[in-house]
Amino acid sequence: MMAPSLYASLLGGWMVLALTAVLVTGGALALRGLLAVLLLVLCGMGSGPSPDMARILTGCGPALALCVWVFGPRRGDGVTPREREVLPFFLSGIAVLANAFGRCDLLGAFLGCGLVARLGLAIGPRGLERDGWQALRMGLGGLLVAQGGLFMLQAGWGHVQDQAGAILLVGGLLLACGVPGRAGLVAPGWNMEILAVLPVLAQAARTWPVLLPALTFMGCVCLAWAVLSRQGRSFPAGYWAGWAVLAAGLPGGAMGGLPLAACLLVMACITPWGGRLSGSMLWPPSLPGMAVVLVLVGEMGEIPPVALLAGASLWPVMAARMGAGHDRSEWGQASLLLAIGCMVLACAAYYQMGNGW
Amino acid sequence: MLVLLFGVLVILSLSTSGGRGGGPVWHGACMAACVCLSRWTQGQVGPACVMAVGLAGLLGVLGAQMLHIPAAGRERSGLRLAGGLACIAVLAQAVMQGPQVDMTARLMGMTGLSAILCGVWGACIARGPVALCAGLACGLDGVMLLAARADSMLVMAEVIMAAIGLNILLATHPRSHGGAA
Repeated sequence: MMAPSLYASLLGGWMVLALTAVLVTGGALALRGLLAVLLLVLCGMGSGPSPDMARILTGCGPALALCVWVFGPRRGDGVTPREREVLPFFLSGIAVLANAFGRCDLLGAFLGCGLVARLGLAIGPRGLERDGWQALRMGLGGLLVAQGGLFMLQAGWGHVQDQAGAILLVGGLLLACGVPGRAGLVAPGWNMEILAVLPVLAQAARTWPVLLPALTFMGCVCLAWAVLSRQGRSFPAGYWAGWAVLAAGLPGGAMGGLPLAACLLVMACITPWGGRLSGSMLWPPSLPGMAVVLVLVGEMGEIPPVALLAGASLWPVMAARMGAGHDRSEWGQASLLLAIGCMVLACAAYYQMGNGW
Repeated sequence: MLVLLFGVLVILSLSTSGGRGGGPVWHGACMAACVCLSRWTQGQVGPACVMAVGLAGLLGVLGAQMLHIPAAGRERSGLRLAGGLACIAVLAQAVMQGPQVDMTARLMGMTGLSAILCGVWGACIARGPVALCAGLACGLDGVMLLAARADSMLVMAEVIMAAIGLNILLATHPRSHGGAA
């Protein structure tokens, strides 16, 4: 376990190094892969031998998302401007930093940096484009609302006021992350903010327990939004965001934040353009179903068969992936999901043994 | 009492002007006066006052820029007014409950929160960039009020940065008549 200041300065050094290297050399695949793996290793070492396995998994989320983006399939003609290549590196570095600090009042500053980077890329010869204005509306508006809610929580005026503040804080942060519907503007690094925000919120819920019902409520709202939105515009990440918010609202039991870590890891691994959403994603024996079962695992940490059920529910996803096509990247993604599921299950089993014996 | 008066002024003037140049200037001036007065009554006139006045100046520049950009066709001010009033009603219910100890602090908090919610509401239903920026400027006023109440320099600096960013964005927006592009 490194000291937090050393970790933060190492991360800052990584960000400067990555931005300079990619901007100057144009970013060959080997260089970008090396930088992404370096960040992953750094994340793993930073939260390394800490007793909480779920913390490590959560902390590695942004770095894993960066790895998936770097090694994933290129979309479109493959010619992207150099600045657009840099954006995921910058966003993931910021997300890891926000995770490392883990303070709610610094989230505004970090998310603001990300928003500035996005807006700076969206400025064209005719001013901001339409997507840019939309990002500004959602990002800055959400940050303002979240800041107001945070002030209300810090003032500590009473229970009802704290509830209002918690709803404002959670809703504003989710709006700033673009969770309800960013289907139109899927950019590289689209999931970095939510990967940083949810662990910090789950950590802040220890200080303000009133955040937990607010998180559950907003998770249900996100799920309803994803289900009720039109079929053509929805994409699976919306479901996973809803599940992750729900998992963040769980009271911390014996399993720690394991359900949240599982949902965040899956969010880090899926790519938004992986194809249209099939109806089977909605029902329990599938990928979101695994989240339900993991939530059950988190709730009832003493029952091993539930963990086995979670493993079994992974199978239909594999079957659907196999039937979908013979694309190599699809296979890679499916096996990555399977590996992560096994890792989470191994963690669960480890906790069981640790608790039982 | 003056602080209360100015708080009510800000609330009343929140939703009335949508997308025109005068609105941000008026709100910014009200906010700066509110912050400075509350600081003055506490007897600590410091950097918070300077930052509030600076934000008012930046919002004034924003309003001057808006005068040069024609506003979008439909501003839907009626809807904005209704939404803003609903926000204020809800917040008044939530914040004003409990023992009425420090009325001034609570009213300042409510004013800031209603400014934020009205501004974001206005920005959410705005069509054109000008109305969007006006709504967000309104929200910045609210955050500045709350930050002055909570004495947090970090948030004040962020608000100033955001106002500068809004100015830059609106300056890059092309103008259809007069002015350089």
